[in-house]
Amino acid sequence: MGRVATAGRVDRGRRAASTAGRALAFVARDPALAFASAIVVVLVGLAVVGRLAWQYDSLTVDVENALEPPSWDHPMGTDGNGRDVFARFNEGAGISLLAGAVVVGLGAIVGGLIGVVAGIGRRLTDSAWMRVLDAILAFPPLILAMAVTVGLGVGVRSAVLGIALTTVPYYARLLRTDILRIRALPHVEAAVALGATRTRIVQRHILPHASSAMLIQSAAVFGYAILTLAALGFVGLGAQIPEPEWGSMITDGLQYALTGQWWIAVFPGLGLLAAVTAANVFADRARDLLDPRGEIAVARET
Amino acid sequence: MHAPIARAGRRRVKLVATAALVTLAASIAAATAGARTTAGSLVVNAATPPNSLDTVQICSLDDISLVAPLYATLVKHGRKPGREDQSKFVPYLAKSWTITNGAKTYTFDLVPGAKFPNGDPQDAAAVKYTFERALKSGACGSYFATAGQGASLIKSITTPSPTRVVVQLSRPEALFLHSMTTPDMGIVNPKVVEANGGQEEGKPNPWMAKNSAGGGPFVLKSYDPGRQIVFEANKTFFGKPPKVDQITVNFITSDPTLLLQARQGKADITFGLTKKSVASLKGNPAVEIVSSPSAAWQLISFPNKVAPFDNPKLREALSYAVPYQEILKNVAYGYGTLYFGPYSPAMPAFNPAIAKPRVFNLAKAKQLLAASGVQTPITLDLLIRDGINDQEQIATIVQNIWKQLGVEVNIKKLAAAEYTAQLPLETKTFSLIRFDGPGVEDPAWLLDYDLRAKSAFNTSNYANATAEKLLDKAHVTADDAARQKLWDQIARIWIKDTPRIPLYQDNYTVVLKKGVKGYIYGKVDWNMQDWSK
Repeated sequence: MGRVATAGRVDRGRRAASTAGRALAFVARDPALAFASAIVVVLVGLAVVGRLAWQYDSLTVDVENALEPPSWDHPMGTDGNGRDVFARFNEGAGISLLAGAVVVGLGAIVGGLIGVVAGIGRRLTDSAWMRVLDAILAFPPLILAMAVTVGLGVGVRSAVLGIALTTVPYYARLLRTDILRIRALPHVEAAVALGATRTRIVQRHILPHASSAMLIQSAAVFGYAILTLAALGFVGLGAQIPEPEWGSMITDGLQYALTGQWWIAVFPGLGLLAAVTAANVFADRARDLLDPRGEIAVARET
Repeated sequence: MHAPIARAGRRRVKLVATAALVTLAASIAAATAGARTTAGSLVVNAATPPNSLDTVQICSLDDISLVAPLYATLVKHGRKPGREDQSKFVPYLAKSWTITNGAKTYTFDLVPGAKFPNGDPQDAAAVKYTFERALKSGACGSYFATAGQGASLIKSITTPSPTRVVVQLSRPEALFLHSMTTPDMGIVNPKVVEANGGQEEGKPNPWMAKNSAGGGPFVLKSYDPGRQIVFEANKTFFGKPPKVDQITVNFITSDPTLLLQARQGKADITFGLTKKSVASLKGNPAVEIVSSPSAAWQLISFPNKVAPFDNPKLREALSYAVPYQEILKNVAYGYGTLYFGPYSPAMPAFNPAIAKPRVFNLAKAKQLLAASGVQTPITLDLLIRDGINDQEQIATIVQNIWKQLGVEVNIKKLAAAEYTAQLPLETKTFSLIRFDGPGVEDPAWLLDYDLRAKSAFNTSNYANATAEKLLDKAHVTADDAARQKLWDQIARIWIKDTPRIPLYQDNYTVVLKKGVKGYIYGKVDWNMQDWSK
């Protein structure tokens, strides 16, 4: 028995390594995906390791060395208060990536739950939830995010909640549509006929099939969340002084653009561009990979 | 068969098309001509929009200066090269005046035939109404109407004739005539105000916030709150007519945009550029930078009534934890002067031997903090006003350094109206960074609102009974040398108490496009009627 269990663990390990290897090979074959992956690795590395390892703090003011251009000591220069822009960039990366992840998580969980309830519930339940979602969708997403942020009190936390709220209808509708489609499949009908509970049907038959769509959606939402957080920061609703969020850094840097201190706004702008581009590339590639009618799936089958 | 009709039809089409093209071309030409500035108009860019156009509601110097062209006051300050001379008064709506009865009776004789733009007389009844309205407002208007001395100063206002106003004071007050120069006491048309909501006790008039009821050198052509004011020369103005037909004031809170427009010559006059942007224009041949030492300063106030900031040692400690030199260099770009005291160097009461600048000394700050007995950490809300770019920078610097002393500063950026609403609160529970200075460069004027415990505009809720008694004495002391001794005593008390931190005295900087003439530095009046190019 012990030998079988060990063999099973080894077998799982080998399968995991094989899957990881195939994934890496897949990424390596796709230049855009490889580039996007590299960006993500770099940003995560800067957000996690860079913040801890770098010699300067993102908040320490050193007015005597304000507005220094990029140098070996300050690779991204210093801002108007003498703060190291590289340190602030790294912390900003952490804020943006974490915010993106939280928005995706909240949106997927809340939106997913609503989608499941609407999808497997009675017509009245479905209709009621769809009307609620319609009401949310009636507002332009940025305006709704701003309103929620202001209502809850400005800051990153409120901004994240506001942005997450705007993603809920998209997740909900996506999952509901998938559920309605999957419910009609023969094997699901068979499971129902055999007396499977709703919970079992959702867990064993519906969610596994719907997960690919949710993954694609999440990749797109991640990029949207980072950009929207920056937009809220840009107008003063997101991160508050002195939090180094990329949007608010761009706002701060703009006042120096015309007097020649370009680095204060440009570096966070590039970070934003890189993060959002990477997220969009991931979303595109995820769609190609997981779409059963896509080229890659066809190539695998043949 | 239908050829002639078809030809006529085509001809008609051609005619219509030609007419349309000509009309279009003319419209474009007209629009383009309108967009260019002509000798008859000026374009002004300013960073800070007013939160109201109502004379009795506005308190800040910039807001008051913006409203000044719409209203005529009884008197104005004199002139000296490049600036106002606050030691002199010149006639305005009052062509002459006498001060009698031991300086308690002011008799103003008005310019005969002066009218408001709609033809209503700008007469003694209007002056009396203006006083009464200001006193009822409960806002800055009340302050200016009484020279900050309270309603009890004004015993009576009578109008023995349409061109004579007699103001009876309960006691002599040297600041009274000064307060009559401020645009808050700009004469309003009673009929217009009454037709648009009147003045309720202690309440603002929404119509007056966006309109004008004045008879000054300009009328309000249009007002887009937060974006633009257009002044047009008042053709019925009783005094010297303005030198331009129209002045458009654009409010641009973005400093880069303000700078770009100044550089490109899109604005004839630019107010409110950060000192950084002004410094970047040095050497630019297309503009002229006018820098005038002003009795105005950046300050950080403390909530003196609220523990632990009611502890003077704590306040003193924090005052040593401010990098004054760096702030002057990196925020004010050298356009300022350091000092530490209740009056800035531009004020007559300033004594350099007493008000020496404080020097950044973190070790001393820590010692004083320990001596104060205050247990840290403590938190402090620090309010700054949106649109005033330097304040955020100062707030960030201070937040960072005071953290090392265990003081957690929460910076709150407020829109103009919300920020202004905090100023007259009876108990301030916050600090604020404020750019301020007295409308009249007299220490009595300043201290009456800045030092008296009961003053709504005492932004630190500072209270020192001894200092107030000295101020009372200064009000009734005529001899300058004796007054100076009193000012020095007050300064020593104030410095010991450290109710707030004066960061630096500001040099008021304005950027003029080459060729613009007539600008002089005025505390509360930009004297727009003298501008030309």
